[in-house]
Amino acid sequence: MSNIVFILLSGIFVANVCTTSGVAIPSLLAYKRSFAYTALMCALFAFILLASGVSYFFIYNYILLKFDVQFLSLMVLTVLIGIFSFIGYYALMGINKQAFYVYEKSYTFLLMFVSVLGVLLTVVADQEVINYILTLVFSSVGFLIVNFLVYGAYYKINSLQEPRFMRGLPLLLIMLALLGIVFSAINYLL
Amino acid sequence: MVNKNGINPVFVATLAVLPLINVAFTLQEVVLLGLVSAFTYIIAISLISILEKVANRNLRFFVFMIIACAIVTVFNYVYAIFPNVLYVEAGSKINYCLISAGILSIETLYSNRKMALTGYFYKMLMGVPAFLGIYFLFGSIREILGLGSVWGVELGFQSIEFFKTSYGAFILLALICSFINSFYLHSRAKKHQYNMLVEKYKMKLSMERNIERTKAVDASQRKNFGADELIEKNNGENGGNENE
Repeated sequence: MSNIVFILLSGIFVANVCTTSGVAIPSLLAYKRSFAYTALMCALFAFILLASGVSYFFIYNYILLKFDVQFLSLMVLTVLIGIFSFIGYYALMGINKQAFYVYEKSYTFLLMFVSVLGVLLTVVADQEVINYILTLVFSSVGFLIVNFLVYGAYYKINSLQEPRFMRGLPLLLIMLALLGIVFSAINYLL
Repeated sequence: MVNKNGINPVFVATLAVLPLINVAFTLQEVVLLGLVSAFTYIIAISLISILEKVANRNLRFFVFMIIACAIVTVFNYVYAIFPNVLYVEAGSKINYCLISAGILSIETLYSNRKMALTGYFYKMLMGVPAFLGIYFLFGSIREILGLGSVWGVELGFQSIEFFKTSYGAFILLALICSFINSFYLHSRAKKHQYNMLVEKYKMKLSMERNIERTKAVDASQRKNFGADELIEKNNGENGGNENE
């Protein structure tokens, strides 16, 4: 039980994929459209992350380690993320045409691909399956929380007169730094 | 990041730096990872330019990532066989260069216009130095502030712990990005202003030329149709009548 709580706090707050490692930040840039679109993109991110992560875990532990070809792990990971990204791409095309149009226009395929790759590179596959899956699930939850906080912040910022050179990525980074400082306080609980 | 004028290249370069900030702390690591990322990107984008007219952009990106992945795997293999100081410092973190190379490709792979191979090289010439410049600048400032040294040489003052953390790095990167972005926006505005001025003078010159041409055409028509003689004749008759 304490192990689950540790993974939960670590995945959501202490080692958040956006505020701590920064690997999932590219995906945040494509999401400031609407609440529904943000929710849909979070679901897509979670799907690609979990599906490719779990597949990679089994391939790594039961094929790559067995045949001593770990050097192929990065290639396998990239191919798996690509396959599930395309599945998500066609699923979104079938589910919602409007969201798909925004998804195509805002380069989300590329940004989500690199974000998922970054998250999976930070999670070590040499561990128990349950711990691995829980880490991925709580990483997705952490991503979702940061996403909605950033969406809310953008909603407020859009009505202000922010300096032109700070618009976009610099403001997002400052927001994430402040969120990271708040989240690091949770570290004292662990 | 995306506006009506296309993708802001400063943001793309900064975004490419982001995956590497938490894996590299010293300038040595920064230089190694930056060069590996740039090299991976250049080789992979040169190879992918062959598929320009064959595949759509998402498929091209996927193939780009596989090629980049193969290059990074070779880098890992080579560094593992021949261990050196830089590998000990940053060798295990080379995998993150794949993410940076992927982000750098956004401008070239996702461009709306179809490009020739020269177009790819032009974009590379613009994108790679911007990425390396921002990353090296960030790495050196972070090492000075966070570790109190440059390239391992102690500068003899107390380092600030805050800049070792990820949120300190985010704030530093945000400041560097906004500083460079303000220069970029200023130069773009100046360039736009200059282009508009040139356009205005071109229009003015062409208007003057058109007026001269119209006058010349009018004059030639009068000559061709014997208008001048007719006018002179009329004038003569009128003059005679007035005298009578």
